[in-house]
Order: sequence, then C-alpha cells, then structure tokens
Amino acid sequence: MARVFLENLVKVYGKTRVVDNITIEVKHGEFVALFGPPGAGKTTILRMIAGLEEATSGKIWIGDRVVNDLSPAERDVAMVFQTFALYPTMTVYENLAFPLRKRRLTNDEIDRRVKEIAGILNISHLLEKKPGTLSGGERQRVALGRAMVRKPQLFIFDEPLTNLDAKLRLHMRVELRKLQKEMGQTAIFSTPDDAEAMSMADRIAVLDKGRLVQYDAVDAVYHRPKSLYVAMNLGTPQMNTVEGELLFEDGKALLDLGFAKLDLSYLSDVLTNYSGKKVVLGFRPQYAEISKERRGGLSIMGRVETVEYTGSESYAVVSLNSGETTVLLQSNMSVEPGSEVWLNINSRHLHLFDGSTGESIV
Amino acid sequence: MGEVKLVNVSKTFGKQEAVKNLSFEVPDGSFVSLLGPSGCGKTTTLRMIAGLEKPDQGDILIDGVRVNDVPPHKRDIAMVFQFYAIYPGMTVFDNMAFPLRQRKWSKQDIRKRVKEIAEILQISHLLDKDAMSLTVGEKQRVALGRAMVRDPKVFLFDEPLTNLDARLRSKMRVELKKLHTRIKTTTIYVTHDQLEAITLSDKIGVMNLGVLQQFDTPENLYNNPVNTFVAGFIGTPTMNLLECRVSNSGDKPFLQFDGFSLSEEFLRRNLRKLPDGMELVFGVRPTDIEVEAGEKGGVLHGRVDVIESLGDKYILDLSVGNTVFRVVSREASVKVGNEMEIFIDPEKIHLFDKKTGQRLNMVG
Repeated sequence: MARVFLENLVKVYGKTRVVDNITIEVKHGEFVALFGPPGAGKTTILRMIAGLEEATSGKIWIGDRVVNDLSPAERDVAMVFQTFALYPTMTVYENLAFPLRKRRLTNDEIDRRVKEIAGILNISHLLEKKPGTLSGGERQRVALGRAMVRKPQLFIFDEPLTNLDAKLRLHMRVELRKLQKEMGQTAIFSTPDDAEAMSMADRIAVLDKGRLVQYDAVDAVYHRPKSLYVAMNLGTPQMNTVEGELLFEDGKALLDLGFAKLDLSYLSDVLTNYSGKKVVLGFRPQYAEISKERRGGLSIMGRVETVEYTGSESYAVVSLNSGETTVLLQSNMSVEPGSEVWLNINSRHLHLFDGSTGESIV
Repeated sequence: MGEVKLVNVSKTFGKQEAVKNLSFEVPDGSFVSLLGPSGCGKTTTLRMIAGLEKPDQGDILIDGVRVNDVPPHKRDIAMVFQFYAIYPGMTVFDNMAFPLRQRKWSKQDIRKRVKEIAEILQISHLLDKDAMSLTVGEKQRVALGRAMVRDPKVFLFDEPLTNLDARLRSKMRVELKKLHTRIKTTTIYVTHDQLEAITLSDKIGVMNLGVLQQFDTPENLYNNPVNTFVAGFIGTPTMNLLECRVSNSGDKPFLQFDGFSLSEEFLRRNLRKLPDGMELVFGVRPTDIEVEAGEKGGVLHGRVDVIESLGDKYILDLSVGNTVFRVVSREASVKVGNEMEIFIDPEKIHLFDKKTGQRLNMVG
C-alpha cells in the first residue's frame, strides 16, 4: 500500500524557497495533480519524491517509511518525464523488458509481464518495432509501459502530455486516467494546464510560487476556490471579475461597482466586517444570463462586443464600464454585437474575494 | 475591395502533391480560415496567395485580376506571422511607421497614417512607448497596425496564436474577432486549431492531404459535416464515430454494432434504401447524448468506465457491449461503474458510408 505523505516539505535554492512548507497527503490508489504556472514548484516536488533532489527540510513518506535518505532506486518509484526517453536501437519489446532484465527476472517471467503491460496499453502489435517508427502517442505509451512494467508503488509523471499535439493530448488524458484506475497504483503528476488537472485528477494541489494554496477534490477547487488565484487559474473560459466597494445602506449589503450597484442584502450577515472595503466579484461565464430587460438586484448593464460560436455553445463578450466579461448564451438566445443588454448573475454561483488579500469571502 | 478567388489550383513539391485542384472564394470583407492537420496544404495555399509560392496549375485572382505572375510586394497583401514579431528597441510609432518609411512616404503623411491606424486599434496612448514594454495583447495590435498602415486589400495569417498559452490564446482570439468586426479587411487565416477557426470565421475550408474537404460556415461544418474527416476534426470532445452494418433482410431493419443494435424505427431513417450488409459509420456528438442513472427508458444502456471533469461538466466514457460512447453530462453524482440509460436524439445522428467516408443524407 503506498500512501504518500509530504510533511512540511521545503526546498531552498540559494535564497529562494522554491518549495515552501508543503503538506500533502495522497491516499493509496489516488491520482493527484500538482497544478500551477511555471515556477510554482511542481517539478521540484516531484523530483524530491523520486529522490532526484534532496529536501532542505521536511519529511517524505512513501507507504510507512520516511524515504528522505533512501536512494531513488530504493524508493520503488517510477518517474516518467516530459520527453520519452526510449532506447532508439531496441525494439519496443526490449525497451519494455529492459527494467526487468536489470532486476534479473527469468525470461518467462519477463515475457509474461511485457505482454501483460503491452495488452493494457494497447501496444501489443508494436512490440517488434523500433521507437523511431512510432507516432508520438505510441512512444508515450511505450514510455509509460516501461515505467509500469516493474509495478512500482508510486508513479510520478512530470507534465506527461505537454509535448503532444492537441488532439493526442485529449486522447491521452482519458487513457492515462483509465490506466491509473486499472492499475490501482498511487500516482502524482504535474501540469500547467487546468483542463488536464481537472480531467485526470481525483484531487488537485494548486501551487503558487512554492506554496500550496488549495488542496481539494476537483469539484471543490472549481466551485469553491479559496482565493482569486485559484478561481482565475482553473476553468475555461476564465471566471469573470469586477472590482467594487462594499457598502451598507439601512443594514443591507450593496456592492458598488462605480457604474452599478448590486444588491447583496441576502449576504448582509456574512459581509458585516467588509463594510467600506474593496472586494472582487467573480462569476463564471455559465452562471450569468443575458436578457433585454433588467431582472433583479444582481443585474449589470453592458454592451455586446462580439459573439463567439464554438460549435456546441456560444459565448457573448459583454463590455462593462470596468472591462470585458464572457457569458454563455442560452441556446435559444441570439444577441447582436453592439446591442445593450442586462447581465444577470446567478446568486448561487456568485463569488466574492477580499480586494487586498484575494481570499474568498463567499 | 479585397476579393480572393482560387480556381483549380494545384501545387506539387517533387513527387508530393501538396495542394490538389483547390477552388474557393473569399468575398470582400470576410474572414476565411483554412483548417487542417499538419501537411494538409493549408500553409502552401496561403503562401501561393501571398506570392511566395507559384501554383503549378490553376489561377489565383484578387479583385478579379489574375495574380499568378505578380510578385508578392505588388499584390497589396499583408502577411502577418506571429503577432509578437515586432522590432525591439523601437517605439510603437516607429514600428508602425517602418513599412511607410521603406516606401519613402513623407514625414507628414506617415504621422497622419500611423495616428489614424493607432486610433482604430485603440493604441494611440502607446505610440511613444518602447514596443517591447507592452503586454502581449498590445504587441499583437502593434504588429497588426504595422500590417494595416499600408492599407492592404487582404490580411494573411499563418497560425498566429500557436505559440501562446491556452488562456492568452482565447483572449487574443476575442481581440482578433473584435478587430475584424471593426475594420472588415478581407482575412485569410491558417490554423490547425478547430476552435480558433470556428470562433473567428465566416467560412472555413477544411483540408486534408492537399484536398479541400468542405468549404462552409462554422454552423454547417458542425451540424452537417460532409464526411468522416470533417466530422472527426470539428468539435470537442470529438464526435463518436462508430462502425456498424446495415441489416435489412428481416421485417425490421436495424444497424448492427459491436455488441448492440439500433432499430430503423429509432433511427427514423429508411434503411431499406441501403443494401443489406453495407458498412456504415454512425456519428453522434458527445454533447448530443443525454444520460440518466437507471435501468429503463433509454435507447441503450451503458456502464461508466472513465469520468473526466471539465469543472461544471463531465466527459463520461460509457461502454455498451464492446463499444465506447463519449458523453458530456452535467450530472455530478455519477461514479465509475454506474449503470446509465443513454438517450440519443435521432435528429442529431450522422451516417456515413464507411468505404468512401461520405455523408449519407437519408432522413425519413
């Protein structure tokens, strides 16, 4: 059983804390994404787990052992890198068999394992080929196979899909998730792509400059972001934001956007401490509706700039005095660029963030 | 004016036919994309329009005039490569003035023209800044401004957004769309990204292996793809394309799939019009299928194999017999292993001849 526990993990290079006191528990069989932009610390964390970097402080548990002082080989971890390092002169079969030969397994045992893995990865028909003749996706699967064949306790994938083209990336996303679930081994991967993190992972660790800002199930990260940073970095199209000042009139909360006032009286109790403070209003494109007439207290007037048709849906780009917002159009709705419309925010999916810290208030 | 027309254009490199007998029309003021995978001939086509390659056969016409033998700089065309290709160390003004100085315009005329274009692009306040200090979005407008100052009849874009990250790409897309709405200069845009083509274009030419597959509006490409290539290339997640066989020897004709069948009654198509045993490809988009937990009512019954989250939606892989259907669902409570009823709107089904890949238009 491989539960992974990173306890107050720190990595310092020179004066920079590239990994700053990270605590993450990955349960046995779980698939966890480390998500963040370049420089967030994702790869350094993976390399510390694999034993390729030493932790400055903190403990790394794999199973019931602290592995800080174990060599990479002793940790029973398989790491797959962005670029698939395959031996070009060996056949796919030999590439897969190689890690087992090093371990002195019998030929029969090796043959059985290679064929089993090839079956799972759908590459049985490629076993006699050389890597140079394979497509990117096939090579990716062979590289995965080579990591899987020795059945490690833990898989680590460093941006596994980054170098694939768009179509293949979508395909491999499903493949990887399916594989991980079939194999049942614990796995951790890093990615700068929010769609990849959400579609593949059970839980996402959102990182910002070496710090863990939220570690939660995919739904929670998406629907209940703890900060503006998390909200803005997950979900496509991006969450819309408008800055405003919170006011109380007759004990009722109002959000003054400068060009419009929104009725937040239903949140008055929660917002009492924020009177007179700057807050950021956030709503996702699918949680606002466009109408010709004003519909209630959460309506803002704007002008349709353009409409983006994507095939299955259409989005209106609506400019407010503060900037642009994107709103999903109801399927029966059509709007003309240049027209004035009301944008009605769904109160159940409205977010408010502290204007100075970015932390979520509602 | 800027109307572009290609008539039976072909281009061969060595033994490789890069573009085969290509014809299409780009009306004045419209935005047309050439879309396809790498090697489909889209960039070669663009380069022929620009005058950087010469067609072996066929004619290229701009505003009705054959330009096959006209050199690039006399075609009145602006080719914009990557947006951020601007001159560092120069101000925005100098960047935009550059093409005009090369053409020996007077200082006064240059000033007037640059200001006019800067106004349209809403970058007047940036004219004195170092171009390198701008945001990517501003740089994009400067690069475009540099192309616009000479007032070309046609803009040609070669994968301008490819090297940007996903978030910036979608922002730039909107910017470009707004700009085109405002300036209405004829634009031909090459991309391999179907979403870019769909969101930006009035019409799209989908190409594969040098051959134009379909030249149509985004809506028609999405709703009525003419063959399996277009069906599979347009739309995400990709359309489910499943092989099946016509069986109409009994009293109730049906389509036989691997592990299940669909009746003529459900499909609302007259399968007797097709030969018994004919192999088809059945297509339905993941967004045109609905699922519900339960045991009854749906046309098919499947088991959830994989769930991918899109945030507020999920892509489910449902196995029915040996076949996998991909479905987009809003249902948050679904778990791997759940049994689901599958509902398909027969109006949203696409049928293709497996041998030719061509769409079969046979409703009723």
